[in-house]
Amino acid sequence: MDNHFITFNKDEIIFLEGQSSDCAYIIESGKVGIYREDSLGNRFLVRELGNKELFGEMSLIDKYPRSATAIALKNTRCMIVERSRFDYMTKFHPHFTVSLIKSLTERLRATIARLNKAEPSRKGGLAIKTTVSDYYDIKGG
Amino acid sequence: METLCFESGEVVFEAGSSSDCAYLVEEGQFEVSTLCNGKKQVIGTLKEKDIFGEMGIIDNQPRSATVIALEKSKVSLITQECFHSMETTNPEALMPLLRVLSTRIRESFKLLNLQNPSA
Repeated sequence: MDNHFITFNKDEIIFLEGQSSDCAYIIESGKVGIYREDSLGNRFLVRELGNKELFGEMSLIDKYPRSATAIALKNTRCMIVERSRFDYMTKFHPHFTVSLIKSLTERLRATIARLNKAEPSRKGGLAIKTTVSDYYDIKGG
Repeated sequence: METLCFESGEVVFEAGSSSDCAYLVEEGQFEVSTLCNGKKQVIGTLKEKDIFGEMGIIDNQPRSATVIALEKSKVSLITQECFHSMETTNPEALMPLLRVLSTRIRESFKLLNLQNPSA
């Protein structure tokens, strides 16, 4: 199966939150920032990714639009993982799937931790912290 | 896969208990609840084909909410052994786990947005 590569300049947008998508990327060199926007439209950094890290795979898993924006933080070269290759990998290389499951679990925990941290400290405020962490720990674990 | 049956009102697991397996709902309904300031707060309902507790087979963190059967219900048990054997015998069975994790990440992203933050 062909591997395709693509190069991004520093600050170049790789994909935008909300875009439809049919590929993921593995970083060959460089650095990528994953960003989200808050309700006011301010972009904030969720995580930084480096060599050999995979991103953009959630859209391949569930076929929904991009859940975040990816921007090259340096000049970056990526391998493109097309849907057909991804499907092949998940079908025939279970270790790939298991490592994906582990990485998504870590990411989910990190997101929950961020949610808990972001909770306003005022009493009687949003009950989201309890709800979310418990919901995920349970539904999720 | 081993199955377990629960009567209405029966507890599947409680907050704080250790976790080493996940569940797939075969029949019935379950309620997910937590204690918020000493009061029970229902935070979700699970129905047929829903998976829950899946992170327990991955990183063994304790449960922090309680799941109770709302009616006579049946689940399949996904043990760690079962999870690991899927790796070799039925890798495609791992896909629902990937999907459920993906869904939860998207849901928590949404809440993160709601919550504000320029965190």
